[in-house]
Amino acid sequence: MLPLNDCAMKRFLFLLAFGLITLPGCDTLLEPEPVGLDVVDNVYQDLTGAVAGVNGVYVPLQSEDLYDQDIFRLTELASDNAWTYRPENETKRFQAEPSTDAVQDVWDAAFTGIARANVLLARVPAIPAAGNESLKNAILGQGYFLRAFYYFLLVRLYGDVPLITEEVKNPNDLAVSRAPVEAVYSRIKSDLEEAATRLPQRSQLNGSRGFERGRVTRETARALLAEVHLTLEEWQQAADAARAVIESGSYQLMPDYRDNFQGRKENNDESLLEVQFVAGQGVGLGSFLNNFFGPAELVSGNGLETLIPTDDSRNFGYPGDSGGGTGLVQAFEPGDRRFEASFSNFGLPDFFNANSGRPRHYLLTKYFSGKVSAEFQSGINVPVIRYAGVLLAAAEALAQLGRTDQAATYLNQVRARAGLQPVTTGDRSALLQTIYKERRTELAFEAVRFYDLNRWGILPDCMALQGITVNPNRISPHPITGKPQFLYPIPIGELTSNPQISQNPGY
Amino acid sequence: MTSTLKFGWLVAGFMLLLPEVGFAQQSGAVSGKVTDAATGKGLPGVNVVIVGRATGAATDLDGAYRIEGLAPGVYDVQASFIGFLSQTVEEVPVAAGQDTALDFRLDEDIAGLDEVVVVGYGTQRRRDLTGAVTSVNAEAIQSAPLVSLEQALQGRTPGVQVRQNSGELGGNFSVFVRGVSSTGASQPLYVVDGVPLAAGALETLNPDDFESIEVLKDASATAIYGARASNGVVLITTRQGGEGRTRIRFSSDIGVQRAAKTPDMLTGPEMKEIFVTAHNNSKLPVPLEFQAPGYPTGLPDNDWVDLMLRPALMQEYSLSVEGGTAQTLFAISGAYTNREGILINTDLQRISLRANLDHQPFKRLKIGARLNGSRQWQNGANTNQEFGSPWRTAMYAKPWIPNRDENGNFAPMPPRSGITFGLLDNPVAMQEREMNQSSQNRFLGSVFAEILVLPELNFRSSFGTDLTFFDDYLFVPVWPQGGIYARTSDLLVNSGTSNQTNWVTDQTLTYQNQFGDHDLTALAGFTAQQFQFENVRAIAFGQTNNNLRTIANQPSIQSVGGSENQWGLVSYFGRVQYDFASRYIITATVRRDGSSRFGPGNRYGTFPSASVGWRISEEPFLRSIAWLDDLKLRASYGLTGNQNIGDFQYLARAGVGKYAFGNTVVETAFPNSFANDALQWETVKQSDLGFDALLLGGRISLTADVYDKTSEDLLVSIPLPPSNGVTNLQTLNLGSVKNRGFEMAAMTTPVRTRDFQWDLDVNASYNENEVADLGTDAQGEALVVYGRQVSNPFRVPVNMTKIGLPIGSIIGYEFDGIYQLGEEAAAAVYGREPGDTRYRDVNGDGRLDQNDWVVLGQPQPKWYGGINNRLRYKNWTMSVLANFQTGHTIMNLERAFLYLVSGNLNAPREWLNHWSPENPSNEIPRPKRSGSEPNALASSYFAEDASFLRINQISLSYALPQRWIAPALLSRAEITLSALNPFVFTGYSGLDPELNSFTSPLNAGQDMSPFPISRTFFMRVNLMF
Repeated sequence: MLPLNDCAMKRFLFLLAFGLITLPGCDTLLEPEPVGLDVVDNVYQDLTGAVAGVNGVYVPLQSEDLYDQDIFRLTELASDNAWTYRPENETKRFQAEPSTDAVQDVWDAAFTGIARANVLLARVPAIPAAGNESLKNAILGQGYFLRAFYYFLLVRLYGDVPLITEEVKNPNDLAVSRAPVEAVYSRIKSDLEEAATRLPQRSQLNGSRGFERGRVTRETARALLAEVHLTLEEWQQAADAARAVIESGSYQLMPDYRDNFQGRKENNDESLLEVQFVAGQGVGLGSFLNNFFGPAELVSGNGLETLIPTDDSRNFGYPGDSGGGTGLVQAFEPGDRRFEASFSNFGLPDFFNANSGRPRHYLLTKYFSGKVSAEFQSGINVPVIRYAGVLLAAAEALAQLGRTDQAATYLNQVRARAGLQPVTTGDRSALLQTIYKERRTELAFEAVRFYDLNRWGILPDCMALQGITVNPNRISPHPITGKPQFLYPIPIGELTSNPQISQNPGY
Repeated sequence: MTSTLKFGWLVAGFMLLLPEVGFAQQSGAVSGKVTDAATGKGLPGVNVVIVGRATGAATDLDGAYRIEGLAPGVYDVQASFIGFLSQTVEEVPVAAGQDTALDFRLDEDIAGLDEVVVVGYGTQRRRDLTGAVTSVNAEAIQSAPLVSLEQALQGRTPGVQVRQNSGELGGNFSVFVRGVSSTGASQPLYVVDGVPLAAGALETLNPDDFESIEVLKDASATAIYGARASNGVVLITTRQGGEGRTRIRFSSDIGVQRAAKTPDMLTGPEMKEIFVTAHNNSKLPVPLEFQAPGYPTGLPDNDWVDLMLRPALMQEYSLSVEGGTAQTLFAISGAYTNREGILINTDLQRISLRANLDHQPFKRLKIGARLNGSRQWQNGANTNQEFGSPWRTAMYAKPWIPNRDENGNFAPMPPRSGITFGLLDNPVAMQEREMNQSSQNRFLGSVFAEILVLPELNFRSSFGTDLTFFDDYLFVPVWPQGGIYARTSDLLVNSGTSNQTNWVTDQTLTYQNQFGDHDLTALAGFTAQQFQFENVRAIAFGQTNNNLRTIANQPSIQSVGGSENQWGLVSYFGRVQYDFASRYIITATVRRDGSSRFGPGNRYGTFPSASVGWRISEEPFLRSIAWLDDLKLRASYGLTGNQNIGDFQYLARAGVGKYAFGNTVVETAFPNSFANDALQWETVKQSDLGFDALLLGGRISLTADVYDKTSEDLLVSIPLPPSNGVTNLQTLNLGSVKNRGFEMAAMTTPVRTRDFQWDLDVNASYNENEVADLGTDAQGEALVVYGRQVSNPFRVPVNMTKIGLPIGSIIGYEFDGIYQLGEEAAAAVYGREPGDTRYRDVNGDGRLDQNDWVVLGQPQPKWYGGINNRLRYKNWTMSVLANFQTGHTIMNLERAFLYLVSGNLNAPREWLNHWSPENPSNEIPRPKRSGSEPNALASSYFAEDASFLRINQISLSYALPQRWIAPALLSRAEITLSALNPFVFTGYSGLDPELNSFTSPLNAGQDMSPFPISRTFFMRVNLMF
């Protein structure tokens, strides 16, 4: 064996030991670059990032927690329009609990949209417009609009809700208590007014980046404002806002009612807000509604027929399945073209008793394409605010103000397209009843019926006609209109993580 | 499979049939005397044998022996006697016609005072240890075919609680060293031959390669691993050859596994009756098919549980060659495992190769390598705990769902399956037709050089790496059945690949010297480690031909994703150990860690520890006590850290996605988490008092410790209020957790005679876990962190972490029987009716909500331990290992789920006794088609005592006599028959009291039927040449 020279050895050791210690690279070990992962600070550096940011505020709309399913459980199923044979019928029976899925999902999705809007509204003002003021304004306008939209959903479903309008920066400040309905509405109105001053007109949606067709416009903000005022029974403001949309000339009724559905003419002249879906672009971008509403046999054997329109002529024994004289199917006047545009039995046999010789119950066709891609994705948009709804809002507000002639003019535009005779009555209350009926048939299964019944204060009575008792402990007067309204419970996820939260009466 | 099996037998048989090699012409002899080294007296009955030959002799009453008839040559001679260390003298010359004199002085086998114990970055003699370290030796590790090495720790290591969470083929264990000290990942750090592994990277290792496992428990032992040591450290050392003759070891295991327990579900006719009753109770129309009495003819009645399980074969083979010279030592090994799962269409195979080399080219230089390559591949089961797991589906699928048609093909669902058949798939079809494959290729190894700079100063430099390449592939074929959980009507392929690079370099200087009675060892070192992780995944679909099942065959891409992550540690450490007269020992360590996991302001942490040991038995006043061989008192205190959180948690991260306007797909970005600049280490302060004692010549060895362990700045990932709009968990430093307890172990040999020896090892540990603080909210109220919301339909948490309670305490309503007839009014308050479950309205406010939840127990045991019996009679050995855990609760969510009895799901057979006006059960509610959720709420009814005593293993071995095996050149041949998990004694009604669906301590103790645990019978053959 060769004894190593001590000196050489020491020199070698020194190099090895201390050379390695001072190796360049320790810093990179401790400060790795985040790869494939963005940091919030980097997103809002320029308008390109801000456009991506505002697109992100739209995303919760298309989740299964909102317009891709759950909102229908809280609005259409929880009304006299629809019933279900499936066991998850809590909202039909008005027996939802804090742990009911849809109650939690809608809450989560709406607040997700609000948080995204808050970050956007906090950060975009500091981004230099770089000569593109209109884009910057459009981004901010959409942020204000969507925040108001989500809060409007929440306040009508849950009543008082945490009112968060700033970007949350300190993770220790995350529990916020509920703000009164009045404060929430006041913020919704101011946001919508702000949005209306910043948003582009429809004609400015030229398809360029940030101005694609399908984004909301100044008129969308006004149309939503009309609905807000209608809900608060502020008839004059409601009429003004709705007429501003009508008189802008930017929107009009499509000649054929069916053009609004089944993806026929998406983002058309009548459409103020649609939840956008595309098929074949990955999960999340497509919708599940084809399966949710579609017939068992026709949707790859997987149609769920989850929500079925109430029909006085059928009675299967499920909660609220008989219309009790107020079935949605019977609400359509004879000759109403909208019925066939909305429902079909597809020529299929009775679902519950194949030997009965009777046809299948009616099913909704508005979101039915008859064809799905793998993963059940359908690309049909869901209309949320249509020009027809704006006309009806104007009609209702004006009728309430006693301007029945003008009201009838707007109402008759909607009726005419449906192939119905114009209403000539000057009787205000009869006119109102017709408007109410028109809202039900025109906007059937467009996630508005629960709100309408609730704001008119007639929800418990309507449900009683169908054999459903709404627990009176869960009814409370609306703090502004005084109308008796039903509220959903604050969901369990909020109750268990937010010590500042309180529950609604009756839960 | 069968060919490998045959091969194993062939090898074994061939070896046994080898003819005796060589024979004597003129013979010589070896003779001498065997004495007890301590007393000098002759030992009678000692076996003295010529190694590798069928020749030997026993000593007489005076200890004398003589082995005759040896051919001239050179022999290895071995003397062995129970209770003494065996001794082998190599290369003993024997000449024709002569007697070679050879005496032996045998040392009593006093359990390991001089045993070398591996500690961080070095070794120590057990007598010098001042920290709490438990060693598990090779024999224990290799006594059974392990699923994963954690299994070897169960019941054998005081202070280490091991839970087999499920029966997955690759192993799924939780290991808690001295209680759960963190709310996140609380698993110990595993270090293999100096390479710290990424979390959970144990499964491809071959336990037959292990020489020892050391579990470092107190701060004195662990602080040298600083920022990752707060959950304990497990050091694994692999085998190295020894100087002398080359040894070959071969072992084979062949066995069969069965489900240890199966759920008992309703048959078709039974379920039909309950299904009809459920509809009637909910005042819903009974489906047409079931309106007539009796079970419809032609409707199948499948026992899905039975169809899903099978007896499963397992086999393992391992071969190693070890040996060396004065300059070079080596150990080379290979092992192959093939294990079928007890669920149909599941199996796992593994190949592992190893080469360990040490070489000393110069007197002062030593170089070496520890190299291990392995490949593991398996067909798994979808183990999604929420929905879609075929095993769970097998429990709740309706018996009348069709299975196969007359041609053996899976039958389609009947048309209009909506009501009667529900939306569930045929679970057998799911399990058989889906391909759920994964594989990993791995290289784990290190190279090192050691230079003796001065006789007292050693420099060691090492570089180690763990490279892992993973592939997984899920294929969901097209099949005619409907069902929502089939997920697709076209076929779907989900394929991912990832790789993980973990490298580490250590540089250490060790100084060791003795000045009279003063013994000093000092260590200084530097280490840097980096983990890099990359993955790519694509999900595609759309083919209608099941043969076209690659990503490239699919017309549509659902998603293509990937990610890249890395983190690093740069650390300095030192240790000084001073020992005066083998009596007073002081050890101090410190480590300074820098971690990329934390923000710039909190990047570095320092973790010191100190300990003292007093070998009181060396004091003059105790020396005279003959029965006391050794007694050492120990005390230690120190800090360790925990950085077990995700990367970049301190940044406000943004998510990205897509939206569309019309058909224009646009990019989206959104906030995904909040920034937390203050994020920093979790620090654990631990003190420990203990003693080690050896009594009666080593026949009794005792160790006991009490400890107090407090985690501060606890890293907690909490769900934020949904009103904040960020659904990801947020990691915060919140509060502190205390673990206090004691642990004791006794290793005894109650009986030791010439032919018979009984060894009895017993250990027991007690741990008390309590959240000492969890911070407050803005209003000053104590925060409560709830566990995950249990899936549909409950959507409530069943764990709560709160000040004063153990982490993840199990909560729920208090079950209060069933509402009976006549109690309509009381029931109506809560919207219930007679036959529905009654829960206690704790605050009496007339409604049941989260304010009525009560604490039902803790998920982790208070007491646990093991009992290991080993009986040896001549060539026979029998061993029985048992372990127990008690003081904890398990939430039987599977049972709760099956209590829904909504008509959609099958139910346990106990439901035949459900409530009805004629059968006023006070336990099992009435079935309901709709609104049955309140009858299945997480409550004390489902929170069951999880205490158990498990017989882990019973083995019977027979070592073939030398004279039989020597002709085959064997030095040892042993056959073992063994049963793993033969019995569990428990009151738990579920399949196994250890089942645990979610490993996070915040969600512990939930049984949602993970992969079932098996019972195994196997035969092992061990051969040594």
